[in-house]
Amino acid sequence: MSDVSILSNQYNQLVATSDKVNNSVITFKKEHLLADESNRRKYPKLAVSAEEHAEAKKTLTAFLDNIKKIMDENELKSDFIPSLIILDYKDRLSKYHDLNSALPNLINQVSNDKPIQSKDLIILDDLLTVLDSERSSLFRKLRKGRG
Amino acid sequence: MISFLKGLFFDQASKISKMMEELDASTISPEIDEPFLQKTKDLLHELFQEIQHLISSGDLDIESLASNNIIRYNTIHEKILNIELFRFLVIINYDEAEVYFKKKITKIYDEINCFFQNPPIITTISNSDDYFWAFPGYDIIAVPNGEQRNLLNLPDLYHEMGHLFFSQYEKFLIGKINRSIEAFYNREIIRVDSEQRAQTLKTFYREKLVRWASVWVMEFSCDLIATYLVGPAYAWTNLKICTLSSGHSSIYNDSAKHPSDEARMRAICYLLNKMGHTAEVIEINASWDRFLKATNNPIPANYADIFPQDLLNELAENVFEGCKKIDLRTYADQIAKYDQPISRVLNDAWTKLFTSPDDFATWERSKIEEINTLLR
Repeated sequence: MSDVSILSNQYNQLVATSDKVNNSVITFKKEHLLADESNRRKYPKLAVSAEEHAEAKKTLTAFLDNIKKIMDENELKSDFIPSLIILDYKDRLSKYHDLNSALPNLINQVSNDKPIQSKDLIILDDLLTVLDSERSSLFRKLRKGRG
Repeated sequence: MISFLKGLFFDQASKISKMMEELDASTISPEIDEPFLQKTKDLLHELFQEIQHLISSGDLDIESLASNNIIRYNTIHEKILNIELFRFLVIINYDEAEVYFKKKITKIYDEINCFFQNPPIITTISNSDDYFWAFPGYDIIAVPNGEQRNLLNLPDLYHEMGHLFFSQYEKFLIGKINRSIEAFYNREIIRVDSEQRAQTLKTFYREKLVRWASVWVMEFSCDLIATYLVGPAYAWTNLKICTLSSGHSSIYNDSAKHPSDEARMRAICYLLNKMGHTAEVIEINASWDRFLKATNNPIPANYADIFPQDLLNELAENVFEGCKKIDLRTYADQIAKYDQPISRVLNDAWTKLFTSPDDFATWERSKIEEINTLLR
């Protein structure tokens, strides 16, 4: 029996997380751009609705909280990250040495609607890079499982 | 960079259009399940629309979103490949073997009294190395090319059917096993401190707890569903697979994706005993014990804490009750109703292999022809 059944479940969970987190980061980046008048002229379609902001805030707050638990408390359960890759995910996160100290501030900024700074966006991009690598790697395993 | 990235999304949209055109061609087998074909077209259409929406949104013109747009591109690429590998190729390669399996799986679903699900599509796009696999989200089961000429592996088809039942009725099937698993490991974690055992054991137990809850319960359940449906033949087919694992010294090894073969065999035998196959279990266990001695695979440290018999027994009891609740027919009940259900032929195949191995190939061929005639 191959691993397709398990991998397909876990891959679908990770795609959902990757899509949601990426879209949320895009929303925050757009808000950051909108703070500058020149960007509004440069990108006339640029806009963020209240619903988009609320959804992005909810997603990122929960996602960042979960990362903190995984890193601080040895939590191995996650609604965002499938169990098959959680140890590898933790390992990859630990390579970002400043992440542990930066996370509390970032969670505070996001959850309390404080303006996001460029340095915060860099951290969010780093987290997305980790998710992207994990997703691609899991997909390769799924393809291999199929033969 | 912007025009390059935008071009990539146009290219993806073009690839999807070509796939949709091919699915509309007259070369597609008329035997393919129409809802499956339509759903594949719908999924491709949804992806096409997602790309069109992205192109017109203006997001692709924003330089500072480049990294996010690359992630979007890669994700869409995987989604296209996913449809291509697990649906498109199934449709394009649908041929005589698939038509045969379609009739066979319809007969099996009737025999086991499965009316809560339509029979899945059986495709022969797998190979001997990847063996049998199921993709519950797409309702397909893949079997190795040429598998329509074999009987001894077919009990594993019931395991893959188990994955489809599990995705629909998990709660009915597993009962409260997750509570028991959590309670067991929490007790062990407390014992680490109270008995001053190595602290590294805590991580070990937490990891096993996550594996049980997320994957192993499902794998054990599918073994137990297959045992419920096909009886002793499932144990023999499992022993055949274990022979391959033993070559990698993996009989007692677990992984994030699978519990150990040894524990799976214990769960299967427990259920067979409960179902009344006592004489067969004695025979299976005798072979299994000799197999374990002959292969002499290493037993990992703390093995007794990974797959305790009590948890296996409880899960087997729950799955048995769960199968009853969803009204699936046991192996014995299939025989009582149909005399020669497919599950009986599979058990006869193993008996024949043991009693007259020289005649087995001829017997297998004639049995398959008999089934073919019945299915016409």
